[in-house]
Amino acid sequence: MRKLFQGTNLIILIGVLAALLASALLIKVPLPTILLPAEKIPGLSIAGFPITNTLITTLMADLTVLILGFLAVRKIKEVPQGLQNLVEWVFEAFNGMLTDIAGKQKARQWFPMFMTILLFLLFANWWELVPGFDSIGLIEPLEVAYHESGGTVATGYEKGTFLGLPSLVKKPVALTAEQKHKVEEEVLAAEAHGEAYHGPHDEHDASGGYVLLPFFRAAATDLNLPLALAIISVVMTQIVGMRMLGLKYWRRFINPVITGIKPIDIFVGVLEFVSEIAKIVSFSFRLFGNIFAGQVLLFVMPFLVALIVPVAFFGLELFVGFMQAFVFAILTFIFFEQGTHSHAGDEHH
Amino acid sequence: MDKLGINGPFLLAQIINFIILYVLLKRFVFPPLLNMLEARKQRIAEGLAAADVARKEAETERARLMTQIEAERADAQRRIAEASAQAERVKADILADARREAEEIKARAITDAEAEKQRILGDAQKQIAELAMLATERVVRRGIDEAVQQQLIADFLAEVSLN
Amino acid sequence: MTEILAPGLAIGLGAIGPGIGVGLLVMGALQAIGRNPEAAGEIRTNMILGIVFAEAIAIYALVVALLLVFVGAPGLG
Repeated sequence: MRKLFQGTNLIILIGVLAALLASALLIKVPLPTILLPAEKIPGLSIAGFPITNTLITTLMADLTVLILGFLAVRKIKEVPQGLQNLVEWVFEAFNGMLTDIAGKQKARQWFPMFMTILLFLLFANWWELVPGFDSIGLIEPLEVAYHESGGTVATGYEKGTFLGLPSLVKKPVALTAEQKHKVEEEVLAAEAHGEAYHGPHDEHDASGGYVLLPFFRAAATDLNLPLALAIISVVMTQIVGMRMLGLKYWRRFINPVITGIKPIDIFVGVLEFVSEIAKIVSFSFRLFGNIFAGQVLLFVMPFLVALIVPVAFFGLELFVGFMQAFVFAILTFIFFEQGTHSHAGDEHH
Repeated sequence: MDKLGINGPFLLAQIINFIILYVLLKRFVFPPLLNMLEARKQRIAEGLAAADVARKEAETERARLMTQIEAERADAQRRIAEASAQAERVKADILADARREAEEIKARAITDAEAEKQRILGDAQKQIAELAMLATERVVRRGIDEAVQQQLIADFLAEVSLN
Repeated sequence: MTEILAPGLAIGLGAIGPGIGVGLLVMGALQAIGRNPEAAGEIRTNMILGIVFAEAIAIYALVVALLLVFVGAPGLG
């Protein structure tokens, strides 16, 4: 530590600081449009059903998990090698943890659900960190983005080139009230002709602003994915509880006459029911909020300092991505476990 | 809802997507891996148990061999003791034999010598008697009857032998 | 002005309580693990559950903030 500011270290330090300064001054990264709904990719649809960029990345995560899974079991051997070894190590570790929580039989039974959620979300979250995500896409006129987003997006950037490739440059453009009004008129006119809106008719009227429509966007930043998983998780909790406890499971919500209906029981039942619904909200927004906030963080950091500093935040997001996948999976598992506890009243431990 | 991006078809697509993924993984990926883990765990447990049994067997075998070695060592000790005792006995026998033989030889030699002495003495008596007769005859120059002669010889011999 | 301030206040104030709650929860759990390391697994599970319930409050604040930013509030214009 004494030699921290001597010799090569000093040169590296100065170099890093110079690079930071230069990147902050020279490489100007525009802030991508932060948009809640996933962007539909124009011209891409299956049976008239538009494809969004988050759907593409969902499929990428699916494929990653499936390819890794099938590669791991393709040449399954008694003495594991390479990928099989890694996958087995991961499985063994998590299986042991689940066994600690719920016992051997339940762990074995619910392991596939846990592992599918974990692996799928892990890759869905980690794909976000691959260069090109949120940064490669179509450059759309601002007016189109304004229309597509239902009026949320009203600022864009001028078009330019970076390293010879067309890109946005850090010169913000905002739509004026007149331009917004004009867009709405033109959209109405286009719809009257039964056409889609493709931007301003002539360049003189155009605002000159453009917006990037990325091809790839972290799957969990589209609320549909967290919500879908949350619904599956909560519905599966009911199914699993029903299967294991039979009709007794529903005592959780409606206390039977046997125990003697007390007002407090009804209240507890209603509370349980509300908490199941709240679970969907908290499940989905926890994942969505963390990944969306991470995405915004990864937008803002290069916007402030283009080089080096964002690396630290990529590391943070690597951790957050794993943590959220793990929390989602383990919570599903714990709720399964709690749902299958008998609610007869004598079993509390 | 729409502004939050929640959209029925997309939501349904995501749900279906996850179910497909779950079914595929549950069908094709998890069972072989979990079974392999289970099988390996079992095999390790079996291997450990077998190793335990083998170790115990080896221990009893070792104990058995040790007692055997101990017994053999005692046996050898006993044999050595026996052999040395026997050798001792043989040695004593041989010595006794030799001593007895020597005694015999010595005794025989003594008797032989005695006999020779008697014979020589007998011879000497006869010769002395003859010589005495001759001498006496010469001295007496007369014949003495046979009986007196014999008497005289006997007396003389007695005298001589007494000397 | 209110459009910018409202979501900021919603998530900012809404995160105070859960922040303290999560801190207390983890403190308690770590102390418990320190006292009784054998029960670490069970404590960890319950800690995660507790954090989840505390964090849910922050998530509701986040939902409100997001609604305010992207959907807008009636009456705020």
